[in-house]
Amino acid sequence: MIFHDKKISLRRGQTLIEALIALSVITMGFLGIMALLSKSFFYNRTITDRLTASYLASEGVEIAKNLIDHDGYAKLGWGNCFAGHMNGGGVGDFAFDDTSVDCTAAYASNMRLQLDPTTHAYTYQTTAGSVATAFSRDVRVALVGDEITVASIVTWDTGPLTSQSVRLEDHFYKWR
Amino acid sequence: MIGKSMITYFLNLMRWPRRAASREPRAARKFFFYASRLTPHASPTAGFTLVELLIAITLFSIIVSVAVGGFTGMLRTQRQISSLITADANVSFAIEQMAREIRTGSDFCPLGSSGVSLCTCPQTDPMTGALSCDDIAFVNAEGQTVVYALQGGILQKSVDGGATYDAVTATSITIPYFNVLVFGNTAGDHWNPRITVQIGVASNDSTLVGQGLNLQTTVSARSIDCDASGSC
Repeated sequence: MIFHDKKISLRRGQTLIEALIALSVITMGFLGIMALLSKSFFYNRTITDRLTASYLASEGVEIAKNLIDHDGYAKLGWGNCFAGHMNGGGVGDFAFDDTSVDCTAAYASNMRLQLDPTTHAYTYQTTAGSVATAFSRDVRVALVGDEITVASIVTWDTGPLTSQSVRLEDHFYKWR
Repeated sequence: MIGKSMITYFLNLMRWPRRAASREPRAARKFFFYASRLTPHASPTAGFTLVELLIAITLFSIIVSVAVGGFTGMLRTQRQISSLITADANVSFAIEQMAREIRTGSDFCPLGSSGVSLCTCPQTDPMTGALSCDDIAFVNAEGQTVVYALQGGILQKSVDGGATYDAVTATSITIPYFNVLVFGNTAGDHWNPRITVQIGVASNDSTLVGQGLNLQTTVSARSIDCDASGSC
């Protein structure tokens, strides 16, 4: 060998410590990617729930608008549907769903929307086989003069993320 | 004193080899590096022993199999997440498009040229009188007779009253159900047509069975509810 008289041997390998450090660095990198991927499953679930909730919230506002307009067409008077069902202070919490034709259904905080596995309907009606979902929808109506404020608040839990909520608000003015 | 020799051994390992090699070999070094290739007196042609080779191969294969398993797992997870995102995006687009078009639409479930309703509604809700339909037909803001229907797991849209259809959702996802509830659709009943759309989505990935999504929204059509005589 040409360098055989040099102090540093060219045949020197890695020490155990060096190898261990290299392995641990690689392992940490892998673990990081794996943690990221398992997190992304969870975030996907969160986004899916948010998507569902935003459409359910939108449904609450549309049903309230439909009921307000019904009062107008039937010449029942402005805000007739909600009047008499308020909590006091001109605010009422309603448990509307697509079967609502009046404003008698009051909302309570322990109510959960039910999902019927055969009709795939989210309602507040308990049917045979219906499953309570994580979603709860409060349609909060405030009636002040010629203005009705409708806030549709959907709250839900996604695993450890509790009390997630979506709030949609719309204002309706007397048109008739 | 194995314990003491071990400690000395590891301490020596941590030293820079140049310094260690220049020193007089200690008892511990002699013990562990006897006939080792790391000693300056080793023959340049010295190879691995069979045991060394076997241990090396075993360790290597264990590490490689774990790494490859982890890597394929990551690829699979990535593919699953990607298909879940595709499913969400598709169904979100479909329901948003339908909701917006229905909101500005009118004349829900119109009669076709043969005098039959363009909607297929096998059931009626006894409580509200709402029709439960498998598809929805209406006249949109541009005057086209639009039909949304589910065909072969793909949501389809027609703008010519159901003669021809175009796909709304991709073939990489499946729409397991599409229901439409039509309430207040009779002219002069003092209700704006209230349309509830229920749509599900599932990925075609066989490893994602049961990971579907159930979406529902209701739209109150903005068309004025006039009776047949035009009185509102």
